[in-house]
Amino acid sequence: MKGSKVGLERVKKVLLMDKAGAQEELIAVLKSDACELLDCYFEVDPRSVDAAVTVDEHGCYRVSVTARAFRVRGTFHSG
Amino acid sequence: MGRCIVVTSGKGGVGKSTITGTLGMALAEAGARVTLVDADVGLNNLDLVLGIEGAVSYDLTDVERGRCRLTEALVTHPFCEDLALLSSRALGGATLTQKTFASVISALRRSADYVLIDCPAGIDEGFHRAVSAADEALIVTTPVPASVRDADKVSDLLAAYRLRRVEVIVNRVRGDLVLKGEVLGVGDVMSALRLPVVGSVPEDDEVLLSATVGRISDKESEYYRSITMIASHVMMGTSAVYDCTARYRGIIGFFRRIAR
Repeated sequence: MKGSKVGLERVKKVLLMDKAGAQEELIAVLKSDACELLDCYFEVDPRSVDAAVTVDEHGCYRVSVTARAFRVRGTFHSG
Repeated sequence: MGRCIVVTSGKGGVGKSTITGTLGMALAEAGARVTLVDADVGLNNLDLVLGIEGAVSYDLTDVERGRCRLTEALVTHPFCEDLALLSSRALGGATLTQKTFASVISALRRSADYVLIDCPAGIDEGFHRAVSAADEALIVTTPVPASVRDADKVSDLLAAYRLRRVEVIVNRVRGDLVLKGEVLGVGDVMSALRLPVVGSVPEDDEVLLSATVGRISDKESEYYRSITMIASHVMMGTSAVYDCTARYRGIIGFFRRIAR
């Protein structure tokens, strides 16, 4: 295999590992912001807010936020 | 108000200061008023790159401490009146706050079309101080995994500053080895970083020769021509990137490859 291909594979692999391993602070901020946002629409249980970030094989992030809410705030109409 | 671009890298020794100095010269030669700011407080080198180290009387720290006015600390390049440098040779940079630095940059932007900040290596306080005053960033990397990795980390940190543009310059590209497929090419770096590469700068002996005697690279050199293309991108948004492999193509290129 050519050196450039080996190099590129090494780089992509290490960037993936770096991103996957450096998320604690990011998740803490994400949880806090998500809680604040969701609170505009729902009466959210702040302790239930959870966030997860994973990295797929293409190096893209998959982000999921889950939360438990007691009720919807106000009434929303589409259109 | 002029544009403020921080030239950063994360990793040291990738040629950031030389690119900042040469890009400043190329922009000034194209008619822009350019001010370079050496934000590498205490480990400054831009004055050496420009060959004006003997002309620096005051620096960034003197401005901060009120020992001189900002205009007194600016050194105009002897061969290019539209290019000025604010150096930072003193070792007292620890007291320089982000707020003070930002106010100095803001003052410089009023009288320049471009303010280029030469960011210190690393990602500690000096990095954040330099980046916080800018609205665009150029990340300099070389086509080696360690440098690309650091560039990626820097780009993640830059995301927090919501800069208008974050673009990449790949320095020290060995066109002969790229053609042989032995080292990373510009396309490889772009696909790894997922950022636009706006400059490809060849490895050129001219850089070493110029650095030794203290002058900007010869305007006919490959290095300067590649930087001129980056200057065109900065000023006019052109997308052409210097082809570092061009001189190693064809029959003459074949002999050049053998000669290296």
